[in-house]
Amino acid sequence: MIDADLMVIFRDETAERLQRLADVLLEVERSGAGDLEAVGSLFRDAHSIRGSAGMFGFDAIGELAAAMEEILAIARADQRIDAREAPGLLAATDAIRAALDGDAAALEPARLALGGALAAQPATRAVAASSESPTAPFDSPVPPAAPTPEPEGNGAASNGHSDSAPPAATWTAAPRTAPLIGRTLRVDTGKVDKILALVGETTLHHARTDHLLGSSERNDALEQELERGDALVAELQDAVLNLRTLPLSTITSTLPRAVRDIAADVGRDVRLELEGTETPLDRAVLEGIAETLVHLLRNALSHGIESPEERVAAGKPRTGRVLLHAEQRGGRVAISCIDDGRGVSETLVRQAESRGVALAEVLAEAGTSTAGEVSALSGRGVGMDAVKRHVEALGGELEVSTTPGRGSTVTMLLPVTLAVLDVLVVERGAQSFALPLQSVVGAVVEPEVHELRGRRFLHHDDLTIPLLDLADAIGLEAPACGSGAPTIVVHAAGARAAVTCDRLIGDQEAVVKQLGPLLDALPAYLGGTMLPDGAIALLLDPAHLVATAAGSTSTRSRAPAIAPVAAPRVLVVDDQLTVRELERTILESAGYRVAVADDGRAALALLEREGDIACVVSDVEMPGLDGLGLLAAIRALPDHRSLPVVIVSSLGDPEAITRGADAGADAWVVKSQFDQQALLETVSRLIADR
Amino acid sequence: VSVHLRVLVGDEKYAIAIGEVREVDVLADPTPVPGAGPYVLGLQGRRGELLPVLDLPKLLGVPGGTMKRGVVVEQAGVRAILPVAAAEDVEDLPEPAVPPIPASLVSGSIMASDRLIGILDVAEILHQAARSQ
Repeated sequence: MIDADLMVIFRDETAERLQRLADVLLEVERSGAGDLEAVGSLFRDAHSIRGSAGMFGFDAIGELAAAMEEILAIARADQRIDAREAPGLLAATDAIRAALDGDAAALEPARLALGGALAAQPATRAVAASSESPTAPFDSPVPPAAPTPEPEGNGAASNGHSDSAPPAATWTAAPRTAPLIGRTLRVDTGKVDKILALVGETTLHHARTDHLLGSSERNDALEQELERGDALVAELQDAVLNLRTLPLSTITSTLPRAVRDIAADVGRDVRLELEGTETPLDRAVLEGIAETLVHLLRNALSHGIESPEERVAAGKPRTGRVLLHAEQRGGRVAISCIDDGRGVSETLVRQAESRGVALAEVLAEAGTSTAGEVSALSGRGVGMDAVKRHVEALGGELEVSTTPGRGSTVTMLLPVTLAVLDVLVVERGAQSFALPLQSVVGAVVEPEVHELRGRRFLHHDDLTIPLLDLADAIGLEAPACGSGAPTIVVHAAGARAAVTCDRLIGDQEAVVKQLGPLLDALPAYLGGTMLPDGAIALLLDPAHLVATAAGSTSTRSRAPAIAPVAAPRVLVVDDQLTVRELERTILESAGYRVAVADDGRAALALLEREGDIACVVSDVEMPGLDGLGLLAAIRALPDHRSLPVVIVSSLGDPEAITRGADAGADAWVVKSQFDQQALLETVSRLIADR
Repeated sequence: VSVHLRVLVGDEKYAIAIGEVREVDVLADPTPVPGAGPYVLGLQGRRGELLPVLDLPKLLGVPGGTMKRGVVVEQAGVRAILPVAAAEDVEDLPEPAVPPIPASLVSGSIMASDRLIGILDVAEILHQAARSQ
């Protein structure tokens, strides 16, 4: 269930927290004591390690972290920590670090040492602390830890980490096992993008040098060096792009659980198989399709796979099969969701054939045109338009094939990376612009132009396509295009538009750069790119051109009217990636749309920016603005005063719950009893009550 | 006192807190960005990054003249280039007083060497440029 990639995230996150714990503890030791801020930081880290270790089944690590937390809870009540506590806590961080590297021997001794330290505390304190944690009483002899279940489906994790191993004394003799997870380096994506930007600059620099050298001074040796430089830069660019990619498994590890839940929900018996999840994709693409994958699987289960009885009656195996298959196909990655269910109805297949359009197109329309009837008929139409739009926004394509009665295949064809793009460069008003080549249908040399009610249309390939001047589309001031100006047909979101410009310059590979926070809001551009001559070309968004050509009034106002009622959107706030992802999966597999934020401040900013959040699920302990602070801030916002807020906490502490209730929390879910059904019921009830 | 970069915009003197200055560069011809609003002159590439060049004279309502230098400023992770006629000096300036006329883009003013110097409010300048799109 929990696979290697999520494990890597867990390990990285924990290593980061251990480092911070050690730094703060060393500072405490140096200065003799630590203030409330230091205690708060220590407590949060120990607390988070305990939480995620528990979720990943590393109970021995979790118990040691819990013991650290107990000492720190007392320090927190005292608002200070004494340097005397530091050595024991440092030993504990070292023990956890060693355990992550495959040597769990020090965990138990470290925990016993901490337990001893606690027992030495005044009795009242110890009792107060024990109420915050469900672990064994520390003033009694510590019993051998209870056997814990092995983490499911992760053979590597069972090495030396299970508490079912013999007690402490023999652990020291246990051989060091292989590291739990491959060594990785955690690097901020901004740094990788910086390197990519510099590689782009290097390419330009190289091209300029080449140009400046001219033809006179060339000789074979120089020529060879230039070519070598060219090859090296290309190789470097590939290597950096590769850094930005992650295997598909990064986002598929939670899918088996999602499928199990959906299957139970809709009464299906289904087996999910994953193939080719090692296929690499750009981070940005991965982030973009996580939700879409759940959507496709949900569709396959609710509308593709038949009920067990129907399947048996049709002579099929009782258990349905859904295969998620990924592979590189040319320069793109194809991710297919293949099921052996009833397939798309013949009516729709015939409709697609007779109209000569793709089946994906018909399904997308069928999913939106009307409710119930058609979607039940279409089998796969529900939300297909959303999926299709989403895939196209990432520069991909959606394909559907089916054999009625035998099953369907929905394939997303996605770009491997969003950072490098093949573009067509055009000129308008003495300025260069770039268009993503995959959105360009073609250039028309002698366009057949018609006018109707003051608007111009291009008749081409038996299609009538709205035509507009590129300058008008983006608000550029330029003299009108001459007659015979080149016209480019672009497609996006299932529609086409034709744009005229002054000159076609040609296609090239471009490193796409963001325009930055000040200009990000401009709808006309996807970014910018540097041309070999050093000029900047703005990268045009084909979707914006198509919408503008169609006349913004018609496209914009019609869309909401036919869109199905969107699922409620839930905001998950937690500083731990693992917890966030887990909650996101649980909520998404129940059909919610989910937004995430990593602390209270980010959550508030998101709430202010996007008004459609129906419920907030927040952690308590977070750096910056914590859960209760967030709650208070939400209650102070006029628009969100009545927004339901669920607090998820590993503290079953009655005092904290009371504080939460005082601050206006609608519900309190305790992580240690983390039961996804309880979370889903709470969220569903609160949203329904609104 | 705090350290500032003193700049000349048209004939007027301004200063930018040194903590908000990333570097001073030669100002190239920015590439216009249609639709970006009245205060964005365009984009300039700088070390592989695209940065908006803001029309500082227009924001301040000062007759511009020739702008030869670009001051790369950064505030809360947002970077932009402010064109100036000249970057004059880096020096300690005493705590500024409230400016003589209320102006949201100038957070304070001081008299130094018999000249009135306005302290630029970089956050507000970036905000204003973004808002007017």
